[in-house]
Amino acid sequence: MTLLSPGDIAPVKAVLDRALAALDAMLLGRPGLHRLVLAGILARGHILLEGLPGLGKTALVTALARILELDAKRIQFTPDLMPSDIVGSHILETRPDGSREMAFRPGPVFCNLLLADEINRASPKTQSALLETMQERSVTLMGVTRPLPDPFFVLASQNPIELEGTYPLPEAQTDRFLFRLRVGFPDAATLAAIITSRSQGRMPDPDFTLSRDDLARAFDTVSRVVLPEAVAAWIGRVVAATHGAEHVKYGASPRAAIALAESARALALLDGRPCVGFDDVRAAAVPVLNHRLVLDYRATLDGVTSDSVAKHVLDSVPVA
Amino acid sequence: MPGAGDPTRRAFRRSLAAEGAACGFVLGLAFAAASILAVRALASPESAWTPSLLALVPSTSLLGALLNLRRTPSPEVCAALTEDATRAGGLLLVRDVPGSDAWPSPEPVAASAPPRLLRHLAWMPAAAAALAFALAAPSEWFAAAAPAAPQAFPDITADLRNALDDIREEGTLEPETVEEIAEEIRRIEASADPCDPGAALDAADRLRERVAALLELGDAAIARMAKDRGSFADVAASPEAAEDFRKMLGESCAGSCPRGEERPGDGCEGGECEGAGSGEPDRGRGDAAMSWTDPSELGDSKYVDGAREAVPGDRPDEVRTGESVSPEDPAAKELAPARGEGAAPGGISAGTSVNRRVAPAHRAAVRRFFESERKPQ
Repeated sequence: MTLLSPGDIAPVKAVLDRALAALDAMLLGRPGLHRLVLAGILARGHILLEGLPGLGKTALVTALARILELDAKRIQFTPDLMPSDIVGSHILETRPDGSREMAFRPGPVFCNLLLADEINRASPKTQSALLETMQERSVTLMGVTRPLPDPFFVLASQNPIELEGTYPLPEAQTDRFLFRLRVGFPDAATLAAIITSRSQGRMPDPDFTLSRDDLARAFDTVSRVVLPEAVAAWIGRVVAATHGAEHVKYGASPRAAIALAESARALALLDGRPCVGFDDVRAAAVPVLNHRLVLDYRATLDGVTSDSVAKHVLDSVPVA
Repeated sequence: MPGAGDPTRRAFRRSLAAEGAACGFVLGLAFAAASILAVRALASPESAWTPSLLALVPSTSLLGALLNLRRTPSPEVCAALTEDATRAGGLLLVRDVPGSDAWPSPEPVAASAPPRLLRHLAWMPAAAAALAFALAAPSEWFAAAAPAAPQAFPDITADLRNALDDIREEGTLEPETVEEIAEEIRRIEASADPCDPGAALDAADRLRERVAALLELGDAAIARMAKDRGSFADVAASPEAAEDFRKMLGESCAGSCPRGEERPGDGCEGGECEGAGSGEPDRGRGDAAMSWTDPSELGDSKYVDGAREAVPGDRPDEVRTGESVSPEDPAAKELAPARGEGAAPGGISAGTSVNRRVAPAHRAAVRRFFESERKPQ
């Protein structure tokens, strides 16, 4: 194990900084959210965006797809959406010679960046179609497994207030998301900037795009960021402490520990460092843990949220 | 060992070690002061303990400092703590990884340990003052607290012997009893074990109590009866013994006075004793007769054995059935659950409102519950 040199990190960081600046220029007022989204992309994770209508969740994904120059597709989840509408299906085709055979028509999931808009409006059967694609990054139909393009990300959005006609995501699916990020309301100054600089709210074209080579180099650099033993041990203790914590019915999974380590690596790279520090873990812990904690009924009665529980666990576990 | 050679980590660990040693030193001084106070209060004579007490002071303080020094966190823990305190971004933890030389060292300015050393040393004057007080306090203060020395075994028997001589001279007890007590004293002295005087002390105490009881009774007959409980049977068998016993109790008539010896005013007129405890010896209440077969007297009982008067409906042929209209809605009766039963399944039909009050202590929880159903988490 060799530490990355400043010369290895500097060019990657410069490219990522430009991509982040381009994203901030396209969507105003949320640099922290953009940084976490980019960290999630660098960690090769799927991201669940949660927020009220009109806050720019879909716009964020669209802007990210344009900056990353990835093949992006969008699925509007509806109650009558079927799994075949996502992963594709076989149809009976007639060949020129008159013979017939079952031909596979790939669904929109065969892309690099999949925007699953309002993901909680589809039925659990349809949502289950994403389980294999998100974890194994492949689609299996009629006994044939087809890999998805690399890289593959799912950026899903859901509206937390319109609960009629929606299906809450099962824990098996929420656990597959690296982050659950809450898209908050911009402040008044940001709103003023949006309506003065944007005609009809249209965002400008990106002034910088990340090539596939740059993205591949960034992925390679992230994987070489060193995770010190003390930090890894602390991550393990934090995730273990979620089990048995107050107000928690079921704690975080081992997948949460992996996600925490990978996202901390990405944040360290965005900060231009060759190793992960405790603060990188702190920055990623709440988005990683908040959707993986199943709270008990006392949390509902006491008004405790998963975010506050995750913060409490993080503060209660010493680093050494 | 991550970051073992890092000056920041070394400074942090040195600071932790100094803090631990200071804390242990202060604790050792306090322990020495408490020990000295305890020994001076409990031990006697005091002069024999003085050198040991003085030696206790340096030994406990140095031992406490050494023990706490050994509890200094390991270099790995110090590296992690320093890393977290300095916000070095993990650079302190990868000092031994190849390639770390290319990265600048974190600022040492924030590397000083949490300065709790002075906080521990602030207790030093208090511990020293307690120690000085423990050593310099006047001996008289501890004299009252010291327990009295136990009485030696020969003194107890000598005390008994002196008492026995006085009894012999005054003739308070019968000579046989005095000789018996003297023999008991000799037996106790002969069987006494100087290494374990407990049994002999107990026996001497019992003997002293017995002598005191005999002296208190004073009468030879009573003393004999007290010695031998079987002598009480003589009271019933012998009129003379009964008379002695009656005189001792100070009663004029113990229920067994012969007829014709009644004394006016004593409640024994006509040969019948009417006072408390009078009459034949029995176990009942006064003169009430007691038997196992006679029925109980029911004079004060509320139960009266008898048939009540007949009322209409007692006989089955007197019961009439018929139909009538209830003044209340029967459906409403079915809906209302019995007290404590809760609502029966299907008991509340559509359109029926249930008006239940929520306790004030629960209203906030219920409101939060329903609000959380509508609001995002």
